[in-house]
Amino acid sequence: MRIRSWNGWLSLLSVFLLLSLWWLSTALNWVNPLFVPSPQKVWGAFVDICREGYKGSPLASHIGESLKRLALAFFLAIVTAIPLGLASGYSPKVRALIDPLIEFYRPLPPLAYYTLLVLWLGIGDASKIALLFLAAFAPLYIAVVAGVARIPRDRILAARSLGASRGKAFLYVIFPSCLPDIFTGIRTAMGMTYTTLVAAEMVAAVSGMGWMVLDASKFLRSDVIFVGILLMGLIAVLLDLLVRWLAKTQVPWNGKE
Amino acid sequence: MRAIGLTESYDASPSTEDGERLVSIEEVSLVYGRGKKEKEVLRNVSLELREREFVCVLGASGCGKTSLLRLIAGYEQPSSGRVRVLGREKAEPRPEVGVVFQHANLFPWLSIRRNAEFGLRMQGVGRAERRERAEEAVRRVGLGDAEDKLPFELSGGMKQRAAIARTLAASPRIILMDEPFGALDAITRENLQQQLRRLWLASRQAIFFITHDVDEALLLATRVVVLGGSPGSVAVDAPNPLYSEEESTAELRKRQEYGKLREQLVESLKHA
Ligand SMILES: Nc1ncnc2c1ncn2[C@@H]1O[C@H](COP(=O)(O)OP(=O)(O)OP(=O)(O)O)[C@@H](O)[C@H]1O
Ligand SMILES: [Mg+2]
Repeated sequence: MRIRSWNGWLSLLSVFLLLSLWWLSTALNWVNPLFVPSPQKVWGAFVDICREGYKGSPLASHIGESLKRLALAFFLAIVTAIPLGLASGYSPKVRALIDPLIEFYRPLPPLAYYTLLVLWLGIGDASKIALLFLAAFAPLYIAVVAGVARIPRDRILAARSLGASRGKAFLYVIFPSCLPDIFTGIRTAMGMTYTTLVAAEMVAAVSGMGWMVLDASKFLRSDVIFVGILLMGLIAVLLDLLVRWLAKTQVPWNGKE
Repeated sequence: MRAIGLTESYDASPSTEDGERLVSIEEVSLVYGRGKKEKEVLRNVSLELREREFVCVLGASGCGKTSLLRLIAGYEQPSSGRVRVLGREKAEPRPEVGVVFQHANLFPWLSIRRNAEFGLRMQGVGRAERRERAEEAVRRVGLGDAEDKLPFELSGGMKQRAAIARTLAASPRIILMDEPFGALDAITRENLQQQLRRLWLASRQAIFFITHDVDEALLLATRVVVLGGSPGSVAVDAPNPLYSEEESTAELRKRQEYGKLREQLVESLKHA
């Protein structure tokens, strides 16, 4: 307990040191303010954007647009990757069918196939969501397959000895056994989609946090870039906290078997 | 097959010889793996389990006790010979044959009560009834106060009791137990032995019980089987002369012949 609170203070300290360094370096003119705006200026830009929005849309709608794309892509990934992962883990045949596709596209840089997606799906939201979906799908699928592989065989046999058919064992034993891995997969997938977010909003977007940052860079508005990056970082931390909280409340037995 | 001493002092013959035959294992051998990794674990094993019997299986580590249990449970198929369970030619996992594992093997996401409900739920028993029956089973093993806890919140002994409750709640006709008390301390083990004895005296489900513990076998069994050798085979298969419904385990321990029988059994284990 004691050590933990100490560690909390240490984290705060490192954030504080970084902020001080930032402030010092701008206040003492160590750096060109064109590239590194002062904290005050960034705060000013933040207040401005909050009040008047950026390029015609309020800040909330930029955040909302990004989150909507993320959420939709994520939803699609969850409803496809989890059942497919479970099926692959359960049946080597299904796995043989699906694995090569995933092994092939997973290491590709997202921007490489994004061009194709735009070609096929147009420059609207569909191609963006497809890109984010692909980013989320692979890590989630892989985590679920690994989860199934880790289930003790005797657990499934115990269920069968209690009268569970193969189908019921799948639903009532295999799926819940994988929940911890599903949550781990969701966290990794979340990171992957988030990092592709900017790429997704690079092409023909007029809204979103990623777009805001890219657009600001064209006009050398480093203060807006800073606002965008800090916001994205903050939202990422909050999303991760949310998933971790969900994992903790939904799979309290994780790691304690 | 030798019977070493056990049959000589055969007096209080348990009246199970005429019970219906629930399991019959005929000249079974079991080989794991293929090619270079091939390993014969059981050879020419014949054994039966009748209604109302409590058979304790003893044997050195690695002689194939668990493998034998897994054959009856239908988790493995014999390489030769036959395993017939409840009239069926091929053994497969089924709710009439309950299994209690060496490591409780509970479903970690379900509370103790919901673990106990699992079998009934799979068999389509209605919510109210299965809840009642599960609660009854959990109470019977003395876990009434912990029924809403998750398995990881329980001690090893409590987990093992929960596993027994889960198997009991499904009302199997045969219960297979693989060293269920092996990992517990002496006092907890003795408690659970007594509990199990009481439960069995009340229900008389046939029990196939693997143990390392000679005392455990003498106190609980109606019949004692010793497996031995490599590949394993049946060295002793004899009624337990000590078996008594009236006397408590403490009284049984004090009986004159207890020490001698125990020694004989240990001897036969050594030579098995
Ligand atoms: N799935 C398996 N594949 C290959 N070999 C196995 C397998 N299961 C068990 N064995 C081997 O079979 C032999 C008998 O194992 P088994 O678990 O039946 O012994 P046991 O009598 O239950 O031992 P213990 O008292 O230690 O539990 C051992 O040598 C073991 O290594
Ligand atoms: Mg064993």
